[in-house]
Amino acid sequence: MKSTDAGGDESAFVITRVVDAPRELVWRMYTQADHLKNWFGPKGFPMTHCSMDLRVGGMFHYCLQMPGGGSEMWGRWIFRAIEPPRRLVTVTSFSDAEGGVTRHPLAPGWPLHMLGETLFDDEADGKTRITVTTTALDASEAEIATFKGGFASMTQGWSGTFQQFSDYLATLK
Amino acid sequence: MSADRLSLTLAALADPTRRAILARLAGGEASVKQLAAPFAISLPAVSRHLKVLEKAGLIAKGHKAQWRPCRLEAAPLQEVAGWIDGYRRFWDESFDRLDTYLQQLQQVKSDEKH
Repeated sequence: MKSTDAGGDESAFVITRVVDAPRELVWRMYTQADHLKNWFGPKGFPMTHCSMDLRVGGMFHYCLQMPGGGSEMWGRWIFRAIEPPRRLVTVTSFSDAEGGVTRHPLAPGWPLHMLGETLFDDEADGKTRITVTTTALDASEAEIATFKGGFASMTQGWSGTFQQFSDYLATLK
Repeated sequence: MSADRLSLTLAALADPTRRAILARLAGGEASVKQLAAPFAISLPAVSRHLKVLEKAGLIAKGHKAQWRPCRLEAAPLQEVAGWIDGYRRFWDESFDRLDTYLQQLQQVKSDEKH
């Protein structure tokens, strides 16, 4: 099953997924280093650093190794709200190995901080719906435009257009 | 594409009118007048949008024809497509892995009970 995007509001990016486990267990997957190491990040990006300080103001600090021994990708969450087992609010940023905030490695115009709210809702048959809503935090107008452009490109109204692009690009190959 | 160019391209894509213009150009090149036709905005306003798109490298204006048609530029779009795909893949694949991991954990748990 693929994750789904809720289109519409382009200042927020929403991604949801239903997993087959009760939310108390899903909550632990999100908040314990030993579990996060086993799933957080795309396939082939092993987590080589993972520290978790689960308290308001505390930090989840991680490093993903790019495939083929490539460069490292550091990131961090600072916890703003911790309401087990239903809501987690984090300030999400790219980071260096020391935990300092850094710019987006590919798009320096991207907002420095993003606010992430993750909700865990009960679904039928002991399943859990995970909903992640991401917005730009304390961003300049230009940074918000970069953020919206990136995420607008993924929302529903835009994906039809995007298909047209793909078709068009295919004709050029 | 340089890092700054990617930010510029993304910012240019933030506007729905500009995205509609790009969608129109995906069907083939067009003049400013043709591009302006479906919108309830002035020709100068459309020109301003075109300038932003041109600066971001998303479109180019022809030099040969008198009417200087606009056309899509493929390279930056491909870069953006790759970048967007990477972000989407991050979460899709993380959740795939979470799904698999949860199944393994719960399998172990139910085996222990038996």
